Amino acid sequence: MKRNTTPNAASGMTKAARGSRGSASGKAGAASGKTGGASGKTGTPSAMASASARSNVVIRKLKTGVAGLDEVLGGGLPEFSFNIIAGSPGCGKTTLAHQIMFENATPQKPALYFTVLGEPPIKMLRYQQQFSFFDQAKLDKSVRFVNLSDMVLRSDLGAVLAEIIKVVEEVGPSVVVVDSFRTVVRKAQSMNNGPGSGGSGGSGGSGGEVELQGFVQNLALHLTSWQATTFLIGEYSEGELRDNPVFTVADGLFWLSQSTERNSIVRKLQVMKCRGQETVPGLHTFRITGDGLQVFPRTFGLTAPSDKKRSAVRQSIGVPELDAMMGGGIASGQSVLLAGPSGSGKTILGNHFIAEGLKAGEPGVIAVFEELPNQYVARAEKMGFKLDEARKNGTLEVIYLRPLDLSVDETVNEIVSAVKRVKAKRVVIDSLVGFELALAPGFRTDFRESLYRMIVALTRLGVTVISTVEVEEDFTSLGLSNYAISFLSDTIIRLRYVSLDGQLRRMLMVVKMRSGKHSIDTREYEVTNKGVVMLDRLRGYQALTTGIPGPWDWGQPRDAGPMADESNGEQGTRKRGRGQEMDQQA
Amino acid sequence: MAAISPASRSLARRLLAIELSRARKSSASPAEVPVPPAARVCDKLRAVLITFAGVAGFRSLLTRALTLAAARAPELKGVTANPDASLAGLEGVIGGKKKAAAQEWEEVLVTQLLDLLVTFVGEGLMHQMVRQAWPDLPVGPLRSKTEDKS
Repeated sequence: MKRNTTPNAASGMTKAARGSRGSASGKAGAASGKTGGASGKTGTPSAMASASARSNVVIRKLKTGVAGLDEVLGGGLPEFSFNIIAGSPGCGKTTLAHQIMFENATPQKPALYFTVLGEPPIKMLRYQQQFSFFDQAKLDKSVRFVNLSDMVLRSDLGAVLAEIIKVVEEVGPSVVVVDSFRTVVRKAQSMNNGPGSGGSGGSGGSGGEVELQGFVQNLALHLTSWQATTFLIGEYSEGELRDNPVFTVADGLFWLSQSTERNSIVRKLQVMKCRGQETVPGLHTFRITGDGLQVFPRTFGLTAPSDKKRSAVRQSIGVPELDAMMGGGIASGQSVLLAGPSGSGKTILGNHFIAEGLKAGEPGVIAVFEELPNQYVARAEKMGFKLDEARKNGTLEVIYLRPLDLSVDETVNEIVSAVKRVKAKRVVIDSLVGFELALAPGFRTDFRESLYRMIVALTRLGVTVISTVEVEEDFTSLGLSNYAISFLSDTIIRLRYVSLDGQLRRMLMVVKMRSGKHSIDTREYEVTNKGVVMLDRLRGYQALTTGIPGPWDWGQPRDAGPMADESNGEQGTRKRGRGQEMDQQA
Repeated sequence: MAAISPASRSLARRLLAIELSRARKSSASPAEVPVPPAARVCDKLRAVLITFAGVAGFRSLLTRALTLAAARAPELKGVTANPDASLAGLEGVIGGKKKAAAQEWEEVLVTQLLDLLVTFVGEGLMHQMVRQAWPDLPVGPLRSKTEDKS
């Protein structure tokens, strides 16, 4: 079958439908091209694009009411689709269905929620009303619960189907949910395995399967022609998803799961199938809060149009001498890595950067992982950084991200949301080590990828990001970070201890700067009660970067030019002079 | 024994009064034995609740309400729930008893049922269900969240 004549998939993707969520569909298009899989059935982006050129049916997209899910779905749920929400017990299936139902139900087009054998409905109402989306005033007129458990126990599947159809015809709903659909499957199996059935037990035989297939087929047919968007909820293990005829009939298949990773629980959602729509493939983490499910699309922040404008504007870090070393400051919209050992002043430099921005009218966000915001700000205040007032007037947000089961997407979402709230121009992530620890163990294994996604998402917003990273110091090499992430940073400033004249002193150097010239000096600095104070260039020593320098004794001292320029791939002019450093030392 | 809520008691009294009045109006002749108001109230709630809780779900609630009510009014021990979740035996218990005593027992039973609903689904949803059964009865302010947002 040619792609451009495939009726079920490509035909649904119209110009209007795609246009309704430009960014989302653009994202999904790129993503779906990579993976195919279940969503591959819906055709490639190019096939869909050609379909969109024709005047096909417009599939309206329903808002799910679940933060982040519409983005994953490529704009929303296809109206009149027949969907299955599957997953293990306790992973949020019922809550997801309730959210979608309350979002879309109106007195004119109500939602019907059929409960079969499973969670007793009174208990379900008891717990579901704890969520903010549960609108009691919608019950009865807009949202109706219908209990079918007695009928399932008494009658065959045909009677259950007839009852569902009868109520649907009476009410004319926009959304229909059958929970738990698995019970219906078991009913079909038990019928097949009952006395005289000759069934094999357990898995159900062909009779039950055929009856079930017929039930599902008829249900889908009726509900679709009654113009309802339908959801069957069922408890399934992942292995059961394969070779199950029910999943073949469904237009959409949403798989929810939760896994234990050491002591952390991580919940994930996968849209395994969504006919007629370009979805974002892959596993997306989600969290259940008092507002219900919140999905964190794995491409969050990576695919929306970039606000980043390459700019010649330099942002002061708040230490004039360091600005000078960077050719006037940090190029706005870039990512800076402050790498150094514990106590070297990374956090304080971050405070300088934020405080300087606030003075210049640039709001900021600080993401802290290792101490509470109040403690963090109090410490900064003691050094004279006016962060507290900025927090109060809404130009600074200090967000604390310390749970041990965060996903990368959730972290990015939190920071990006804060950036948007305060319209931040500057962000400090303090520190990457804390960020790594805040993640659930499963995400730590992909920490480089995580950092990539976070930094890219933030810099695409046009904000300048300073990340601090603790480097375990050794005295043989100059490590930049333990994560091999320097490729993510436009600028790297390395802080380190150096043993000089019987003292443990501090020095810093600008190691890398993509945006232009930077000093190649190694400058001494002090951390005082007013912050970082820059001192002179350290002259007359060799092997400074090892931390255990010695005096120059070659008789050929080196005098470097003031700047290296990496923007055009050339090193800055280096002049070799004679005697200068030796002279100094002498 | 847990205290019963004055609000539920007051609502029970109102529902019983409505049903008593309706029973009198619908009674064909003075000689006809009317269905006790408590049975009428339970039956109306049953109609609403079995839609989503099922017959078994409502029956279990009613049985629990009867147990709690019998602890306050031991005369109600003879009252049971039928398999279809309707009340059985109430007429026999209150028949021939003083009007005040019968009223008190019925009030206790309905109050316990309403209190159970409040315990499980909250006052808001209980009012919602009562409103479904008695659409003209003004009970409990209930505003839509969407109205609140606007």
